[in-house]
Amino acid sequence: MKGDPPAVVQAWLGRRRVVVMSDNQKNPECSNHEDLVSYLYGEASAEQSSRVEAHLASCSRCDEEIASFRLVRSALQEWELNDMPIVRVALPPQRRSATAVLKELFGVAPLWAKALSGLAAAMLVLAVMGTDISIGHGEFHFGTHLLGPGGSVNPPPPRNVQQDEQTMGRDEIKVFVNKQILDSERSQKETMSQELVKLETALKNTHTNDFAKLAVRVQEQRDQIKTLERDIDRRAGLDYQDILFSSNGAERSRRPLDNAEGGQ
Amino acid sequence: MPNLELEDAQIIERTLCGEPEAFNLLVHRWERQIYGLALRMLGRDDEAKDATQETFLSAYRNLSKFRGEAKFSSWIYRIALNICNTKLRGRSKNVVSLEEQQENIGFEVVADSEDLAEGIQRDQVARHVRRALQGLPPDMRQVIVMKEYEDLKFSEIADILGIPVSTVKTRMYTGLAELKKRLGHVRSGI
Repeated sequence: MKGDPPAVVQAWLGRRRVVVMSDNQKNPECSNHEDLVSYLYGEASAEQSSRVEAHLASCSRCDEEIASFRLVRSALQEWELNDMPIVRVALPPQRRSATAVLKELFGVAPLWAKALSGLAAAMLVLAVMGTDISIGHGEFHFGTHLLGPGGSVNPPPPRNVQQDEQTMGRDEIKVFVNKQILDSERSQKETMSQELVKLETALKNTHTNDFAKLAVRVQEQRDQIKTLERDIDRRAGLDYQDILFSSNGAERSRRPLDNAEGGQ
Repeated sequence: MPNLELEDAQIIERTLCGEPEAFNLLVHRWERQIYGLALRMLGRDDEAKDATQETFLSAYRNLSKFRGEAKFSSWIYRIALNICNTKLRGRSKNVVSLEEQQENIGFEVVADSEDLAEGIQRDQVARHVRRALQGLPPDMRQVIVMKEYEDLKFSEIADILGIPVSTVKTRMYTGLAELKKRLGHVRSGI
């Protein structure tokens, strides 16, 4: 008969559970399908469970229904995955951003390369800003020409230059930018070299002056030492009588005479 | 004992940080579930394999869009279901697969032993279950498949499908009632 389950399924279901279907009276709790499903799958709260169990005890129709659902669940579990294919997904390479690539390159670069690139980046930034750095005369000077003297932004380049830039192709722009970078680097290097030469000269001059002053001081000290030596030699030539009959000694030798005169 | 297994989120991070081969860990971890879902949704092995492959490829391509707020499993189940639904929509209703034709023809149960008979009977039941599931509307079928075979909670299914939990339970109830009819009235027996 059409619509009847195959005999093999009926036999299988029949072996597992005997359920008698019958029509009973319905009550509002019968339509609480959510609670029933939660109870069937063990996801009902304690309150829901006790409510469902109380209802099932009094409603044979719902009790039979839940029993039949358990059989359906049991039948569903008969469809097992016997043959699990090995899934191989040919992964295309991930598109990585230029920043990520640079970050990774920077990460594996040696320390000297990192330092060099850092210096280059700093120089590039300074060059773009039109920075002026000078060292000398005991002070360090740092200035930028990004803003004009009046605090206003420098006027834009003439219109024809802008148009030229717009018409330039991508490669031309690259070449142009690279050239600008190289020029600014070269310029910065030259400036730095000049500053270094100046600094060295200033240092030499300072040293020369200092040496001259030091030489004068040394000469003065030598003269002073000679004077002291001469004085020491002169003092060493005096004998005890000279000391005794020096001004103090003469006073002492004259005292008895004074006393004698006073006694007269 | 420390848990040495990488979390899905960690594998995703490694993949996005330039280790595409790390994604194979995710494939290995989830291929069985995704293939199972696809097979039970589509009912055909070749289509299920294709859907599994497409699911992982799609996940890989869109990995940067994955938000860590949701679980990776929910995300990839959603992708797989979308792919299965697209395949189901694209199917011609008149085309019957060779496998289905064979099932329709059926075969005699001739068993030499009780075990063999049991095995064949189980196989027959599995075939009928497959056909009964295929007869359900896809929205009911996906709820039943995720609950019965993927063992997901109702709240997780609701999250994957983007529908209320109450709707999931209603679909579940209706789907079970429909399957009961398709698998046959449970008769008083033996």
